[in-house]
Amino acid sequence: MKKLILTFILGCVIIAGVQAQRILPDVTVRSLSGEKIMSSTFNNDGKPIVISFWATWCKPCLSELSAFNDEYEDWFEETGLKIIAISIDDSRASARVKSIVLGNDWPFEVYLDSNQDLKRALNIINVPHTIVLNGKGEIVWEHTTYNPGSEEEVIEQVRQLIK
Amino acid sequence: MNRIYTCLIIILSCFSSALFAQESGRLSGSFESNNQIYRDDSKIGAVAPKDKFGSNNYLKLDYTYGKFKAGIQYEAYLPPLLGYDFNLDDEGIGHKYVSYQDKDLAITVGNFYEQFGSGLLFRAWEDRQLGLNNALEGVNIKFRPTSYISLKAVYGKQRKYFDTGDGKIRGIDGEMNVLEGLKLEGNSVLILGGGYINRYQDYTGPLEDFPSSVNVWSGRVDFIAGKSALQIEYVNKGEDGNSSTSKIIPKGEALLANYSYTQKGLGLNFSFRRLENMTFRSEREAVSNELFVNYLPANTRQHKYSLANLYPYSTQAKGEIGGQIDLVYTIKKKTTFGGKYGTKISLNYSHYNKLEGTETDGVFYKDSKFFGFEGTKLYRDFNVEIQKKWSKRFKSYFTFMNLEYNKGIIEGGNKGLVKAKVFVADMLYKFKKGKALRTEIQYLSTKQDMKDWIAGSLEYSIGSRWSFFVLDMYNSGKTDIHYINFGGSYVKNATRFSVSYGRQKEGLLCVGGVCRMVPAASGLSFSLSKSF
Repeated sequence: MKKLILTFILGCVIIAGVQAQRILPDVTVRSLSGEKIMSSTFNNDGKPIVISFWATWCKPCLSELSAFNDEYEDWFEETGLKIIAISIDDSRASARVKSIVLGNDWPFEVYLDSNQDLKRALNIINVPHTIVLNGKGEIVWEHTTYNPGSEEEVIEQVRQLIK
Repeated sequence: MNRIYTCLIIILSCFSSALFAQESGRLSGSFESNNQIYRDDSKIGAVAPKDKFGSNNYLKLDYTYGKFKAGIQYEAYLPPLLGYDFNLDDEGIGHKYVSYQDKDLAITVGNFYEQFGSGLLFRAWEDRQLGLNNALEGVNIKFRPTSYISLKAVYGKQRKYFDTGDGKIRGIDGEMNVLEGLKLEGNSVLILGGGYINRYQDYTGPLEDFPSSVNVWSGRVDFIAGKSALQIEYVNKGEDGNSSTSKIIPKGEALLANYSYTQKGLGLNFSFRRLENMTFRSEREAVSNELFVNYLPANTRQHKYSLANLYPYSTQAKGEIGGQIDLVYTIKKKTTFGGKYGTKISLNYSHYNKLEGTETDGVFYKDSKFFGFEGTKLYRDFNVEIQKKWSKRFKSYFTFMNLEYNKGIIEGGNKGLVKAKVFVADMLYKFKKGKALRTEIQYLSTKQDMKDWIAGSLEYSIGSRWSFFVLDMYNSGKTDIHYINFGGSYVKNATRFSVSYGRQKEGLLCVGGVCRMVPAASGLSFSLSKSF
């Protein structure tokens, strides 16, 4: 029990101690055509980017992407944002990712992170996990899990960036 | 123990103050703590451990300074949650590394995760839910001499709980983007790759010609032209040994082929896989999920609903043959079946048979042709999901699944074939001001095993932060037992706290097709996770 309390305290120390601007790390992911791409090269010509980490077996992830899909046209017109969906599916389902993306007609840029290297480098614990990047590529906001309607909070963060 | 903490806190304070002083170094990390207070619950066969408590904790820290990076993962199992291996009952730094990375070259010394191709040959990875971490401890080099060639090399021993396994792993892998290399412009992509892994473990037993050194190689092709894509991967494994048998295990092979056709609104995918003697671990004595070198997930659809996951297929690495077909289709908006918002349909069919052959002293010898499909049926699953949005506020998902599961072979014992049908209705209603209610009703019908099940759940969320649920899984066919759970969670940015109380059924917990048995448990769970 003592160790547990110490662990909690340690957790709190860290949470309180760290406040630095983060950018995307240099990690190789794959495009849907199998080509290798460095995550540090994601860009949207100085406009905001929303990145969603998801998996084919994760129900809230699919709900989130489907909600983004419903709103995408309006959001793009208003803010010029780009949405990147990064699948953490391993080889069990990575072949299905492409059919899901095209079958659902999603307008997102999609990459495969099949051994979860990028997820790990960003210290993401579970999916769905959503990140908002400003025009300079700095991580300005992140959120874990998805509740129906949370997409409003995401676009609100993006709106504040283009003010 | 306390010294470790003192050190950690000092290091952290230094890092934190350095952060404010200058911008060049950066600390990030994550913290996860999963806990349960157990109680005895004789009705479901749950026995609380001696101190009625289990707690799995992970603290991961990464420090980046220019092109250098260093990190640790501290883990404490105080003691481990029920169902995790008792060998984890300890605490310490299970993962540590230093790495250098520039545009073309990356070198990691210490623990690292890595994968060759799809992982059929080699995959070092972590899954906390499975209690699995087979990271290599050694050296990893990645090199890109040109934009279209990439090379990888690994050397080391695999992690086994808080120690390493006995066997040494060395491997290389290369990949070439051929059309880019030949400067052929166009929409086609052709990628060729290949890899090699050697495992060495000393052998002092009586057998002559015993393979203390096991050689495994693979070749793969990825070809995309227009709307079609084809991926083929083949692995050949040399003779191997295992401490559970005195015999030499014959050569193994694996073939994985995927073909997909995709266009706007349509995704079609065919997949075939054949495995023969592909169990590959870095130590002959390893058991359960320890020290796997290759990654062999179940090549079937991974389901989202609890009753659909009651009979999950798990890979039969000694010998299986089969495949799956997957279709995702959107019926356009403003058509009869599409309605105002469009209707989405996904279909999936998978079928796996045992490879024909004989088993003597736990060793499998095949006696069929390469594509022989005469073996016993292991698993068959036909499922369809229809997703329909009715209005801005109301959305529904209907799932039907018809499955056959060879419980006798997959779980062992004399349990025969289970034939089951599963029906799921999942409905979401959004109220005003960010409130939403999701309900799930599931029914599983079977004449075998535990007979019929009914499950239901309600989930109510308020904005992005609060969420509450209550669910019940009820075995109406045989035992009349309810597995009720209720709880809630609070999320703020990348921090999540959740608490729940209830029963957990014993059974297979599978993540990505790798499974572990979880015992029946009952009690109060609480978790905290945070990324920073």
